[in-house]
Amino acid sequence: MDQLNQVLGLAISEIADINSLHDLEQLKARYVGKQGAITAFMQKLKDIAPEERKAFGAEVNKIKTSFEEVLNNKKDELVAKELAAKLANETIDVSLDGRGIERGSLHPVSLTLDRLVKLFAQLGFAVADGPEIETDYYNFKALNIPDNHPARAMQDTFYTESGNVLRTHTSPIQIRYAEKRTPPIKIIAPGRVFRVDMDATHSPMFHQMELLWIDKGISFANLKAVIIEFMRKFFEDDSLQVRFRASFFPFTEPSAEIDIYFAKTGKWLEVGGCGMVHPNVLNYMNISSEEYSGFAFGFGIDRLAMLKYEITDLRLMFENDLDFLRQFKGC
Amino acid sequence: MRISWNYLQSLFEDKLDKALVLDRLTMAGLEVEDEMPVAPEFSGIVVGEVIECEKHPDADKLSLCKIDAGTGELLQIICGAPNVKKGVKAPCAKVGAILPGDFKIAERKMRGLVSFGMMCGGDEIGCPDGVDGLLLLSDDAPVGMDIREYLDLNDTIVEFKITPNRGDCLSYAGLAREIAALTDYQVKPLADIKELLTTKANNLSLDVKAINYCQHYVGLEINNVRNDFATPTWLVRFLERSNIRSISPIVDITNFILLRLGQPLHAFDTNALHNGIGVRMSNNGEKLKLLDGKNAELKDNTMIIVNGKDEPVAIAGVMGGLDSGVVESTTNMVLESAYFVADAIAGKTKQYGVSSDAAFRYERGVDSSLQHKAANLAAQMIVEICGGEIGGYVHFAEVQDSKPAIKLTFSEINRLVGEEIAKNSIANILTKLGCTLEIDGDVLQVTAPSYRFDLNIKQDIIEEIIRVYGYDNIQASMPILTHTLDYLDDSLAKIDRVKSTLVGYGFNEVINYAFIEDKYADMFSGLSKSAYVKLQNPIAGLGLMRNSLLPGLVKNLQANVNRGQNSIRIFEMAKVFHGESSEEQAVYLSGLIYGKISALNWYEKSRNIDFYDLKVVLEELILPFGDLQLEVVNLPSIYHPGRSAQISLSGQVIGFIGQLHPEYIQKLGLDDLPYVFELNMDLISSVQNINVCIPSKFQKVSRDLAFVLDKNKEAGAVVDVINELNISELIEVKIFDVFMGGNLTANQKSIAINLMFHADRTLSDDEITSYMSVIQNAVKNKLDVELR
Repeated sequence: MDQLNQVLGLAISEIADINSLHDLEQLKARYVGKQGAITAFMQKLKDIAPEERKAFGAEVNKIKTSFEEVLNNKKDELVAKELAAKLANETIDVSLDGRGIERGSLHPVSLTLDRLVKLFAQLGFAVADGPEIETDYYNFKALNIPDNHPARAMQDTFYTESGNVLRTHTSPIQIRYAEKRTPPIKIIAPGRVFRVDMDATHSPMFHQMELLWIDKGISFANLKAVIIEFMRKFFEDDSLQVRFRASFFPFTEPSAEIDIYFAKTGKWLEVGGCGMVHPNVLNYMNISSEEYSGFAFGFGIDRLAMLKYEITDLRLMFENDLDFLRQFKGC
Repeated sequence: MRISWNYLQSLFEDKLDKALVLDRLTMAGLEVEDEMPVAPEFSGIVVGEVIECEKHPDADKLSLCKIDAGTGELLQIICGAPNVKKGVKAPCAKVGAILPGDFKIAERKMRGLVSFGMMCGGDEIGCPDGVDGLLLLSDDAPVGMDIREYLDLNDTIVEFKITPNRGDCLSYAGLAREIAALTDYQVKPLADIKELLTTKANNLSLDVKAINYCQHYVGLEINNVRNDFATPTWLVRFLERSNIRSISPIVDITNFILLRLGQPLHAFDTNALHNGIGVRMSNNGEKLKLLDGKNAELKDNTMIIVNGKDEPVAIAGVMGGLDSGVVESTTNMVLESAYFVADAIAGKTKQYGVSSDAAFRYERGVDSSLQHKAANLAAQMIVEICGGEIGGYVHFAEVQDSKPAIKLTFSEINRLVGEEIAKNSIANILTKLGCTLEIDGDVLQVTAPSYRFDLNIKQDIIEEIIRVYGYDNIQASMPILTHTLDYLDDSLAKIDRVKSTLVGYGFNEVINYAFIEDKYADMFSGLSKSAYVKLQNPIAGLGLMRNSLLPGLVKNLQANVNRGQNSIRIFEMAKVFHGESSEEQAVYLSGLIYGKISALNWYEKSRNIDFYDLKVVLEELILPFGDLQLEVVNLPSIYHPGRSAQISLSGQVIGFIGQLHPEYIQKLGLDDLPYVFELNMDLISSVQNINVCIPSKFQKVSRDLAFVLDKNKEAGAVVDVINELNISELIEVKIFDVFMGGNLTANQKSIAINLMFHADRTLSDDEITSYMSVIQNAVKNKLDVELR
């Protein structure tokens, strides 16, 4: 028995000194392999008297189990150690930049337009488009703008040599769309527009969006609700104050300017114009003003983009400085 | 339009609540654009009289004065103004006064003597008069009176933005009328006006021929006037605050009436009229030297005033002639007060390149009931201010039909407004606006007053009602939604898809103007055969409508390189113009890459971009829309002939891709050339449906082949030949190596191709081997290549 315990004691002390799985395997063979020291006791079993054999066998098994437990513990320890070493060896510097091409960016006007399209899609608005070089008919006449209206002057409107105009608003799209259809009509018409003007707050080209909703029974109260709701959802502020000021546009009657209140500055800011579609305009659309009514609403997309992203100079929008544009990567 | 608030206030019985009135006006469509006090804040300054004035004993430029400032004792004040002398009156800041900028006046020692206050110049009280020295006041200025009161400095100039439909508000009377309609304030009635049109003129005839355009004309002689008197101070001040320059008493009085009542008047020198006034259309080519010095060549669309010799003396309602108006030496004059219809005047200022307050009002509509009253009031003032006596008058009135009544129903009003407004409120609002009403049950007949040219249809009346009722008082309510789902918009999906691909490949979206300079048009003249669409009135030299997006992208490239960028990827999607019809305004998509493949980085030495860096983007862009083909044909001369290709989509040419021609190195002033592509988006149809195949679960078999071919042959041709064999088990053919040099001759290149086989069964070696030999033979037979 003492012999057995001595062997176990020796094995434990040897295991303690081992530093590799390979050495541990060799040690294991020396004790429990075919020629192993503990295996040798098992082979002795057949030489022992039958009455003592059971007790001796149990003793050898106990020693063997103890040995294996110590061995396995050591093995686990060594596996963990080797893995730790391997992982330590494989460690990289995660602080370095990722590899490959960095994402680009959409222009803030596109980003804003995308929001607008999605917002109005919720109410079932389709998107309509039209030409940028327009005829006098669609840009002025069909919108009830008289021949002598100041907006037609060369200092406001770009004219091509053949006498067409660069559209001064996206309202011509309304006419082009509606003249071919019957109500209900629900469109938004975004696009580039042109005015003869260039300074810090004016660009000769900018973006506008026009909304048109024509159906039976559309009212001024409806116009207010849609615009207030839109402004609040666009600026993500359900308590945003929106006010409607009486105004004049040839293509709507009654007409209003839309102001929103900026708590930051304590000021009302004009953001667009709107009104009930003028019966003359409905006529040009071949829509009966006795049967139908509608409202139109127009505003500058660039202006909304500037308010949304707090951009103070309109010129930045068309300078296309990459340092400016790349800031919209995350949008 | 600018007004003096104090003058406007004086037209009312009660004190107005300014903030309330201006807010009501703004909300009702007469927007207040600006409010400016006429003078800055200051206090304690009164009218002072210089009683004694001698030199300061110890200072050359200072005077020692005794000032009567109405305090009961004379104040010793030291004054440095050059124009101070005994007997003059000027503003006097007493001790304790606060000057603009919160500057307090205290006793102050100056060269040994104490000054108990300060005499002021115009600049010092915020009323600059251009005089170096004291602001000299008139002899009758009451000593001791607060200067703010004396000069009426507690006034505010209010600037209104009057929309073109509201010509009726371009006068003090019109604004007052509007305020009365919007509030409970009452306008004072105008004092009785004497009837001065009592005697028909003997030596003046009137012949109105343009009776459609001139519906009322009054001419009144005033004789022996003095136009060399000074205009009274109050009138100069009134005009100044209303943004009109004082010219001479007679002209100032006509301008006063224009501002006060809204009726433009004109004063002729009687001598220039040759005993007659005519109103007729001009003949083409008649000439008139206008008041502003311009020589106008008249056209036959223009109504003019002529004299007794049938010579033009004025463009009716726009501007008088230089040689027929009143001057300082005028003694006899004829006052014109006329009603010209708006259509006759509209567009004439633009046509003749002039601007006038009269035309501004006539083209917006002048009240046709004002002419008589205005003539009387003006004549009365002229006699009071310039002396003289009233002579005879001439008169013409074409009887006009009164405006027809507008018929509408209360239910229509409520339907368009979207809420019910009480009948009596509606009636009350319209009555206050000067309309006459007839109500019969639901039906309402409205006759608008003569000055409201903008009220013609039902909707105009409804606007009036809610404008006064208050837009903000109408309860917002969402329309009842009846829409059903619609198909998704293909064109939006197309744009989204394309843009997101480009952004994923590192492109930044730019937006350029639709018009370009000649310089850039010339630079890209190789692009298009069609002529540019030209603008008549360009701004900043941007005179040509772009027919390609490349000029804009290249301009952005130059600007960004100048700002130090060296790895540039940009794109733009916009209309370009090959003509002016709708069809000739196609949406194009263009992209540009330049410089390094990536920004400075830690993992590789950044290389310059090449064709293939852009081609992959194009391939991914086109993928959803059909099959891409590139051919080196038909290249515009802006492209490098060896590094560019024409792009076709499923057989249709849609654009080009490639490097700009080497001559652009110099043209653009860059070190390197960009690669660009341009696509006509209108020729790209919507995103295609795809056929999804269920992938086989069996093993794929991969084989490689290598061929040697002529260096100038396209490697793609080999792939094409293999693909044309239509081996259904061959699912992919990919070139994975291109090699030149080594054992190869200078004219050879070697390509390595990987072939991937896959089927719904296990592919046997025999099968693959037989396919491989089919492939090798096909390539060898169809192309001049060797197997390696």
